[in-house]
Amino acid sequence: MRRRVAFAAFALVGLAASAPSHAALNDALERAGRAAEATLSLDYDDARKALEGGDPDSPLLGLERARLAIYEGDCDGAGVILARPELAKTEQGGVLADIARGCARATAATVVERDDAKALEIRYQDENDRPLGPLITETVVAARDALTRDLGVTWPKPTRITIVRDLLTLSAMTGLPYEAATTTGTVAVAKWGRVTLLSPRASRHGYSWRDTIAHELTHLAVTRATADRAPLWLQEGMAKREEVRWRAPGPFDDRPPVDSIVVRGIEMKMDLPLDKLGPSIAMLPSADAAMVAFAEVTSFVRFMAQTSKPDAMPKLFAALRERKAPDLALLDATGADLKAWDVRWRASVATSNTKKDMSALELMGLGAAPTNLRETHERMRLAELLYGREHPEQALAELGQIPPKDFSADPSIRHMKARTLEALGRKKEGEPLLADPKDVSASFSGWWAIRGRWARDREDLAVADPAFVEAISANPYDDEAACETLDPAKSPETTASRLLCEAARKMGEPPLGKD
Amino acid sequence: MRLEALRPLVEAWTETVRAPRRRVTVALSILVVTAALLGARYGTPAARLGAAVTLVLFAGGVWLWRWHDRRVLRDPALAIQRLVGGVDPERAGRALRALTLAGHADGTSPELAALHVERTLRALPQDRVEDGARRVAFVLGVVALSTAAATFAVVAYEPWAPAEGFDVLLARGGVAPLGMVWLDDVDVRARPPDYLHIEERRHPPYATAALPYGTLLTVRGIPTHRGRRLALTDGASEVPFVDDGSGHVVARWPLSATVELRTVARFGEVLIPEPVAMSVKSIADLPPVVTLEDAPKKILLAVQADTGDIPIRYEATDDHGLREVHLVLRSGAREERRVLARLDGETRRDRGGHALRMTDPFIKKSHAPVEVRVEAKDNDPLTGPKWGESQAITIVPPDVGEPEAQRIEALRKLRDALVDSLAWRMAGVMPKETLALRRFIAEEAKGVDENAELLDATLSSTYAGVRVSGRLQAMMRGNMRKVREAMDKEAHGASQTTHAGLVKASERIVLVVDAAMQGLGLADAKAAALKLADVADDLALGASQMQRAKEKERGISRADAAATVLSGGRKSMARMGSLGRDIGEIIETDLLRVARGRSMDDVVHAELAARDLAARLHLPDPSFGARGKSGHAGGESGGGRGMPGDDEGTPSDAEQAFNEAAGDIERLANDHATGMGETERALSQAGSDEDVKALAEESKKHAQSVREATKAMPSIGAGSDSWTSKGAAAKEHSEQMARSLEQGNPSDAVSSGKNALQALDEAKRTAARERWMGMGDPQGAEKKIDDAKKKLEPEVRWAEQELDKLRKKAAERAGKDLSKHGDDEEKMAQRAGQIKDKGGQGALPQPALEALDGAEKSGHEASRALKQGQIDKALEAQREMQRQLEQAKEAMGKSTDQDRGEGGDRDALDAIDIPKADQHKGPEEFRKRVIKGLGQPSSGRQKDAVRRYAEGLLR
Repeated sequence: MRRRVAFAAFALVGLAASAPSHAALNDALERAGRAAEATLSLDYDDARKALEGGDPDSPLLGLERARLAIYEGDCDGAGVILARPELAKTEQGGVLADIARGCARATAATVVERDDAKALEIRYQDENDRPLGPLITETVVAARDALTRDLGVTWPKPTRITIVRDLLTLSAMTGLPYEAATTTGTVAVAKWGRVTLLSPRASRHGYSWRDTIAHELTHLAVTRATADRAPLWLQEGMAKREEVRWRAPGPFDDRPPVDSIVVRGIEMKMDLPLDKLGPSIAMLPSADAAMVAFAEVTSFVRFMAQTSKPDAMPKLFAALRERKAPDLALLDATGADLKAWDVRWRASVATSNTKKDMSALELMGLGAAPTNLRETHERMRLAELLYGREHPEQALAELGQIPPKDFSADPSIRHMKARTLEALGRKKEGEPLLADPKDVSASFSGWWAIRGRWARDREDLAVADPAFVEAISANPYDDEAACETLDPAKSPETTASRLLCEAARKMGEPPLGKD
Repeated sequence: MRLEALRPLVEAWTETVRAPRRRVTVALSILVVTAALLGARYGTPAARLGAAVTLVLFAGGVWLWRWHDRRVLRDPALAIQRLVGGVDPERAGRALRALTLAGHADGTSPELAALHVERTLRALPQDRVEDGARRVAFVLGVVALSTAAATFAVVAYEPWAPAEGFDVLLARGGVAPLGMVWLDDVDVRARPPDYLHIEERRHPPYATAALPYGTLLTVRGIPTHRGRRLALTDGASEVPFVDDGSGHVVARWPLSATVELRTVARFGEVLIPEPVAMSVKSIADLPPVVTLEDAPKKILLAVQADTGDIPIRYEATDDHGLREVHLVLRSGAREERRVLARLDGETRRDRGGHALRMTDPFIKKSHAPVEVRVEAKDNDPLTGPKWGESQAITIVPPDVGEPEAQRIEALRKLRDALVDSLAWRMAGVMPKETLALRRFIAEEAKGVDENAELLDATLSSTYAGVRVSGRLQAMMRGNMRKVREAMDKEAHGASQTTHAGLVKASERIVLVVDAAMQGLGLADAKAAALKLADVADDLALGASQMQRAKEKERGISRADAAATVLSGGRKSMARMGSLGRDIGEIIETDLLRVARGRSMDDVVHAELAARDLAARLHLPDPSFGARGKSGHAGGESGGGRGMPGDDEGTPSDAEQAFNEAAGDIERLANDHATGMGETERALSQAGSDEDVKALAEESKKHAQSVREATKAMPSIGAGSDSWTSKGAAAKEHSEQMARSLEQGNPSDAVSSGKNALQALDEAKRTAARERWMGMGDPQGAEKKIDDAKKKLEPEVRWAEQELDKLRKKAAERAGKDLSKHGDDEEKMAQRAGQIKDKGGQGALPQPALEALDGAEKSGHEASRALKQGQIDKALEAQREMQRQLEQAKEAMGKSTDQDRGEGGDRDALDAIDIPKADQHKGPEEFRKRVIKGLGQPSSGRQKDAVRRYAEGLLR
């Protein structure tokens, strides 16, 4: 009995002593939760409010302060907070510290351009990318408008875009493993409240960087709308759907058709269930796997959007934001769960006319490679070298030996052939090579540029101007595209175009066949 | 009137007293002055002031006394009182009263009063006044005498002291104005520091001397005046003289600067120096003087055709002695010192040489200019060793990647020339007319020759120390061979088909050279980036140092040097193809970031930017597309095979085939080496111990005969090219033969015996030459050699016969195994043939094809011999096949840049791992053969090489 009394007294004293610490912990937990939710939703003011007045020594709040600093681009500040040993040793703290360090290193002494009127902040790791500024601004503004229109999202200010010079920096800035980035050929990541985009100068032939910006802004929009609770298939599917909706439809939209890729992927057993795509498509084991996965989610979301009510998507986002499970949210918003949608979609894909563009698919690398691919590359290279040494006749002869049935749609071969004919003064023969974008399998800056140049020579500006826009969208640092001429003494007239042309020339890429 | 009356008295008194009074004055003056001077001699300010005051007061007193005296004598009343008052007070009183009458106007006639006074005064007793004066004079005389005696007594005790006092009294700034000699019989000795090993020497006192720094000067003398505190001083410090116990005083002065030494006597705070000083010049121990031949000189490695050594010839001299000579290499913040000579500290001159290799690791790792100096350290223990340095030879390394960029540019020129030739051949239409056809063919052949020459020149050139790798050379030469073959076919039978063949071969070589160039550009860009990564780390370190005040300057110079190197490297990389341009551009941008940080005094961010650059350079993948390709889709998209040209850097078909062939040859050579080892092992295992035992008894007898045969030969040679040297070698070989016989090893015995006979032949030839030149005792030597040979030859023959018998028996026992080895050998010969045939269609170099052909033939021969039990023949053929395979391997070249220009990349060569015993059988066999070979007596043909090798091991 005496022992029991003693124990009860001891427990009461313990509770009394620990009561304040429990209260502090609860407060920190509550504040941290609110701050995290607000930060992930890109509501930085709310996050700041949640953190204000909190225990400055609380590790939980420290982590959220660091997260907020990273999201707001203050990587140095985040690094300082995360240097606290009690934060650094936690898993979450370690991840954030890696990001803060990578970000601080990559952005140190870099150039930042702010456009308050358009609520845009662009940071250039390589200041030679600054001539892209007007095009980036134009793309971001258009994409934001399109996303607001389609998804009903609002935008935090400013929109942060960071243009990085290489995959290593992309990896360091975002936390995406470098191996994964190189394996899947990742070019941009929307995370930590910003779009981190690989500079088009990093890729020899560029890439569709403007659509990529729109793609990544979609991720930011979906993240904001769902408080980062959207499943991967929804994130990527929406992004793929929206990446082309910021502009007028282009000749290469849905080329090759995503349904074709899905069918081919299913045939090759490369398809994955929609809810088993892993943490990121960028972390799939190969570029082909990523391609099939993208096609799957694109096709699926497009099918769902087309067959649902117009307000289905905003409803789905709202349900997810309310912490509903993805399946339940889908059921609430569309009346069917993922499994049901998957059955419907696969049936639709199977019945669609997907065989029509398989050759283009092969050219994109999915499927059996053409048997004479190596020889084609060799002939192409010989043609380039002969052209570079001013032997266009012989270059044409080499190109003539490439079997037309397999490579007639290759824009690079068409471009090479057109350049050769141009050098020989036989442009007339080359006109059919550049006649219709539908004849080529992919967007290639050189093809667009020569199409634009020849059209301009014909004074056909209706063809020329869009051709140069497409050329720059494919590779802004192709000097033939950026300068709209092969004459090194000439430059475009507008300042923005002239600056881009100068930047392209400054890159010092040797002329065709001189490398 | 009144005075007139007194005058006789005054004059009488004065006349009598004057002389004694003067004497007293003088004597007193002398005494007071002497006393004052003696007081001043204490040298303290108070003493000197006291003396001066005494003198002044005394002089004043004397004057006052004189003035008073004169006043008394002029005043009649005072005079009467002084002169008469003492001797006749009554008359003096009357006279004084009479004087008072003269001054009063009480009705008395002045004339009467004057008369009265006069009479009264005249009545004064002159004689008595004169007596009184004489008495005073006497007293004064006594006083004067006493004073003089006292003065004399004082001066006699310290006669020089008043003069010293006087000097001290007049001192200014603690130094008396008048010099005095303090020492007699002065002796000055100079003892240089011990490390100079110079004897102590006497120096004339007060003469000017020049002595080494640190010399101990000993000044010795007899003091001219006892009891003075003497010292030696240079005006700043003093060394006191001390009594040496023999009536002399001595002071020791360590010479640490050029001085004027004086002997001084110290009186309180005042010094009285000797009038003459001793001027001593201190000769400092100078730092060594080092001259470096050809320095100053600048060597630009980027344009240096010769990649050999930089001769470092130096001469170091020191005034006293050298301790060490170093070769010092400095680059940026790095320094490396290498000892060229360690000396005893007494050697004053050292000359030497050193060959600094252009491929020295320090130079190879330095991307900033390297200063090469020779520095010598002297032996100065007093002020610490001093270093003297030569002028510098400045080696300006090429920008990082510059040699590789030059190599790529040379390959690009070659490719362009080949493209032009290809275009010419493609454009060429074969004439139908014979003469024109001949001209056409000749023109084409000429073009092929020119291509071959250019290719040869490109491949054999060195580009600032680097060359095209052996593997690439072999591949390109192989393709050139195919072009030549195609040309030959066309020349022998000109047709559209043969011409097309030539065009095809020309296309192939263009693609091969282009692919090689692109591949090399990729590899070189990566290598250069990795080198620059270290420099970027250095840049970051410099920026980090700049944040600390103490290290700021060092950090600035480090960062500047690193930025210069990075900037140079960027330019080189831009010439290396797409990856080089890609990474070069990143370097340029990041340097801008670093510069921006520095210019804004934001060194923290400058450091971060430098670290960003370093991280990028440590991972020199392309910025995009290392594995993924630029696909069509956006976002985190990948996929797509990309456009032609995206696969830059991947090996071409030709390169792949070539590499496969090289790999096949290497594998075959390894397999064959293993097979050879197995054959030898089979033979040794088949040897019967009984046979060897049966031979042992008889062998021992023969061993004794062998030793006897060369007993007369000398044991030690007198010079490498003397008959005694050869004779000694013959004796050594004989001893080895004898031992091998005793151990039952006839194979080694035969080998040693043959070597011994060969050495005897050489000894005889050398002896004959010596006889012809009239040297030594050649007659006797030649006879001894002949005798030895005569005795040794039958022993070698016997051993050969016995060996033959043993082998035949072993071969019979191992017959089954040998037959199996013969089959294996046959298979390997066929493999060699297959590689050759495949390579012949491809583009293996001619030497490789020939070596493979030879290997195939030798393999067949070895196989036949093994099956027939012809052991010697089989082993010989096997060795030949192995040699040919190694030759083919060699002809294929190495796959990397290991075989750079002369003295190429030593790091790479040095880094080759020696295979461990458990790694591969080939190396194991090879190791066994090497160990066995080294244990065996060397044959005559290779013995020089073996000796050199052994010397190399011992070196």
